Amino acid sequence: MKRKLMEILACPIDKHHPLELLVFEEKEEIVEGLIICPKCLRWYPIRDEIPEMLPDELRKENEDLPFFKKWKEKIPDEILVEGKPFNLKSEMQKKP
Amino acid sequence: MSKWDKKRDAMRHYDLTAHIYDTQYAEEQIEKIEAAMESVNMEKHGLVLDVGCGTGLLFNYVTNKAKTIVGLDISRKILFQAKKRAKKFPNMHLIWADADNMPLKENIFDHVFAVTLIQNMPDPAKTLSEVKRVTKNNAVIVVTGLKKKFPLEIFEGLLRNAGLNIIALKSENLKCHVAVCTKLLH
Repeated sequence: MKRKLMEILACPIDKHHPLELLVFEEKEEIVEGLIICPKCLRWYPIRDEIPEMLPDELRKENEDLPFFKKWKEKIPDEILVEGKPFNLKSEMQKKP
Repeated sequence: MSKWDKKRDAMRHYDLTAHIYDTQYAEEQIEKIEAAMESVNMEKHGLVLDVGCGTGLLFNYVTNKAKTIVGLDISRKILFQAKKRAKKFPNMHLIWADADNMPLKENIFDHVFAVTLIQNMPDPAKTLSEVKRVTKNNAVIVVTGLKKKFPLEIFEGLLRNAGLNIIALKSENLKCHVAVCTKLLH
């Protein structure tokens, strides 16, 4: 994904703009990253250079959560706990 | 079948056929694109949206005539095919998204292409409404409709009810109607 795309991206659910961008791996384009809607706290993966901005009903927890966990050290706590459509709230509450 | 089930079906179908899509359908798709392009004038500073971009057969026709092109599709695997085409164009962006819930600001696109899209959507009127949301008031919108699914009167009625004004319509020797439209302003 090229950074310039952020200029026109909005949350597919509440249409909020601008969205926030976290970059995890970047070469000529962003290879892996996260796009966050600061209004509804939904997060959208960027994988294989493609932003994945599907509505909740078309997302797969078993594909998205492993990605989320892989990068959790770089994701703000608010999103880890309250992020939609999936988060790590129950997992984080188990921590001593 | 719910609308989401229909969308999941479309996702699966295009994921499964992505690798053979061009072999099976490129010729038919190019006929539609070329029929549309005969009635579309593009300026180099414009923003173009290709909704349901598939493998990106349209890219070659628009990338040198626009500032920015966005292609979106509901199938991840078909976007990987599109990515191979998009690589050579620095002004090309791809998004995995649903045409009824586009992750895009409103009122930004000068040209929108919805080629082989509405026949795959559970509620074509809703899809056209979302297409209108992201287009500028003076935008040109290309919509195709499979003749088997949309007899001409139904197709024209669908576009009219969506607030689109047909400025050119081609159907001859094609499996679908190709409409070039503008937005009706109230």
